[in-house]
Amino acid sequence: MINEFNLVIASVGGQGGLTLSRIIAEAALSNGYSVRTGETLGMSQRFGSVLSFVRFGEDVRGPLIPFAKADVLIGLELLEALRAWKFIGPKTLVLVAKISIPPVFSSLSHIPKWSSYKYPSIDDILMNLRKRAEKAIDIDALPILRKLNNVRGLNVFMLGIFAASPRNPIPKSLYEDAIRKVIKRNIELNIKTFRIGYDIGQRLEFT
Amino acid sequence: MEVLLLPPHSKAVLMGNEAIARGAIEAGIGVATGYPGTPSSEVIMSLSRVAKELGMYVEWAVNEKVALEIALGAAFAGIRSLATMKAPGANVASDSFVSAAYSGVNGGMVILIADDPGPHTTQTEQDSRWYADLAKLPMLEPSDPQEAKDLVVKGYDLSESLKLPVILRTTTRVNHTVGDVVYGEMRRIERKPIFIKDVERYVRASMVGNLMRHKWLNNQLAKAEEEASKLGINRVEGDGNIGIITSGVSYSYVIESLKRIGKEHKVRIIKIEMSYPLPKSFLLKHLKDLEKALVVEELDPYLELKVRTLAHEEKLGVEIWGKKESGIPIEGELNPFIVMRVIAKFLDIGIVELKLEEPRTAITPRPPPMCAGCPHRFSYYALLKAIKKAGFKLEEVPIMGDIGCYALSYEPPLEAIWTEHAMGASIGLALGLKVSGLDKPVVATIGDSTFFHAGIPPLLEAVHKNLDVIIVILDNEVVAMTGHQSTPEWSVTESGRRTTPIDILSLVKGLGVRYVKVINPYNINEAIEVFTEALLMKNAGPRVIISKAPCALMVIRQGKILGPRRTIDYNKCRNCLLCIIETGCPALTTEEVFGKKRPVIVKELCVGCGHCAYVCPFNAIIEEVKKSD
Repeated sequence: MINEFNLVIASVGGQGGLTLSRIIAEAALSNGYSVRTGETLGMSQRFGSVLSFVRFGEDVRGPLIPFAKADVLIGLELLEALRAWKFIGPKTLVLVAKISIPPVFSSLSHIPKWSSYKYPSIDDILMNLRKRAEKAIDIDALPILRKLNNVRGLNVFMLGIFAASPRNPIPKSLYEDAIRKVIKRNIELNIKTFRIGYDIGQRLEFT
Repeated sequence: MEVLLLPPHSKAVLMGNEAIARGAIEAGIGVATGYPGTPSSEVIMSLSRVAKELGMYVEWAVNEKVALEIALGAAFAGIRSLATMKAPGANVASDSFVSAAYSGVNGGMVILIADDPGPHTTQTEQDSRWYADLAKLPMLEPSDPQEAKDLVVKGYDLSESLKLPVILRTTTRVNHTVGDVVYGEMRRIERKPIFIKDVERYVRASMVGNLMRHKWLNNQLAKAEEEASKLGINRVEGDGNIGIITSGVSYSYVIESLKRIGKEHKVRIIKIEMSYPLPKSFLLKHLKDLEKALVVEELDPYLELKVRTLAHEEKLGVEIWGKKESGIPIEGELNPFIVMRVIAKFLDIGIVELKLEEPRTAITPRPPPMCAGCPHRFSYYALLKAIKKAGFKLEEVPIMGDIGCYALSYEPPLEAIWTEHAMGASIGLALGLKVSGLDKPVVATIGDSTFFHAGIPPLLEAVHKNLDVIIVILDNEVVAMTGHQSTPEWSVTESGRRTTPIDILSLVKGLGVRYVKVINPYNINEAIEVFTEALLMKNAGPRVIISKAPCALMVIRQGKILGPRRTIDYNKCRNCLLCIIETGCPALTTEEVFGKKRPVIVKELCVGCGHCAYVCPFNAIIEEVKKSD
């Protein structure tokens, strides 16, 4: 048993970041841990920044993770992973999907009025994440999810990757139970997506 | 299996608001009502799932004041009741709950007031704890989902023993935190509603009676601490001659911080769960032998002022550290980082200061845009075009905004609204601008639910005083911003109750408005024409335009789209990007082809509203043709 595990999920509204935090919370509870999740979201239902925290362990209290103390950061989008930089410390493992969803006005950033909306280069984002974290791994998830015809399954795919990492303290089967409990549609496809993420994760170098 | 109805001793992960709902179920309530408002909405949303099964009345009310009165009426009749609201909703309901302290209740009543330090989704960071003092109602403050559930159950017992409504004051970090919760027994309270006439108690017309009830109220409050302690409310943890006084979510940060700096159990934590009336004997007992005590709380120095007063009255030697001594901010929410630094300073422990070095890459802002296909985008787009068409400059025609998704129109590219103030205030403020003598048109824009909530009285005022304003009711047939709750226009509510739908057009006509038009915002030319007509009328009294189209997100969730998806004919497209510049639609992006940026419609995000096709000067945006095979 571990005392306190801190996980941050950074995503764009509509990507399933909050659902992912609920799945992990359910799995952690089944494993006998105490759980807290917290979230910071913008006003709109879609397309805003969403930051969720999942904490579990023997004794967890508040919903917020102290700065630099994330054990793992799961990024469902590159810019959002970078936006969560305050929570990344020298012991953090970053798992980020190589997906960029530029804010609407990023496409106009060549016009001076919109220049502050310029979307950073992917290399810049990854360099920043690598500099900060113990290890940052980017995963080219889209081609795999497209092949599975489950682009919306990015959240469970990334969960699979995390589940395969040596940092993960919860048995894989409990995540599958939790997916069945939390996700209402396309359960089998999402389980399959999770397992493919897990298989890919097993081939990654996490340290 | 419905998670809220699992048997006693079950353990489930619940959001704070779901835990409050479970607490209400365990307490055997019969009536729950409220008005949607983040972060309070999920309580009623959760209860409406089980309303039928438990035979409970669970419905949204037209506004918080009406909700409070419904809950209070039920509690008069002896039925346990719940009213929920976000902090500004408490301002709306306050007239009724201040009087409620004088009449008191027979059945237990809990009023949930959800504050939003941060703020995350609220117009102000008001600290609603002051309402307890103002109204003289007992107030409980939980720090996590488990306590939220437990304090709801205890709150009903406290309410019935004192015969007073009890305020449950939460913050976003309690309402929206998910945590493990152990369930208690579900009490079945079978009571026949009875209301016995008691003029002195319920009629606030007699001033002598009111004075007597005020004395009764103070008498009840004097018993509050004893009743609370019987229920195990307020507690002390750890020991030592140094103490920390805290409440709500700040308690969690205190515990964590002490653990992190290795002082767990070595400091006496005085956890206040009933913060009004102040549990004086409890505090005195645990304060009197302390050397110094730190108060950790979010927003105003509420506990601090009371603790200081008590220490002064009782001539205690304890040195109090409040906001000033500790540096705890009075704006924004606390977090473990702030609290740990403060506690280290208080305990005089050196900690390694964390250096937060900003990334060298600038982080692009991501303001939440209006959704693809949102009818509000069309309404404001047409209104702005009409202002120009009518010969006015955009900067001389104020557009007053109101509370709802459409307030996002302040952002580019629309940059439409000039104000967003309080529920229904768009109309009242517009009236004020007109009576001040402003000679240009003034437009108030207000959503359907906001209009029902607080827009009817100011419209009545406009009709009665014959004031020259344009009022646009943005009717998307749902409370969209807070997660799609029902409005009085619905014929069946979330709990399955059949209702009489209220028709806004008839309502407006019934109020005596002579100029009323209903438009479909997706028909942009027609919308521009009607807005222009209304803008050019002079001294015509209030003109109401109902811009009616369902929330696009609601349409999509029903598995439909608004029209044929669009695609770009790159033979005609000249890469002017006006489609993006004019609409700001999140379904549009760009790609680079031969070093030039050209627009792209993201297929999965386009809902077929056709706005981009309307603005394209080259007719390059066309309906997608379905391939035959």
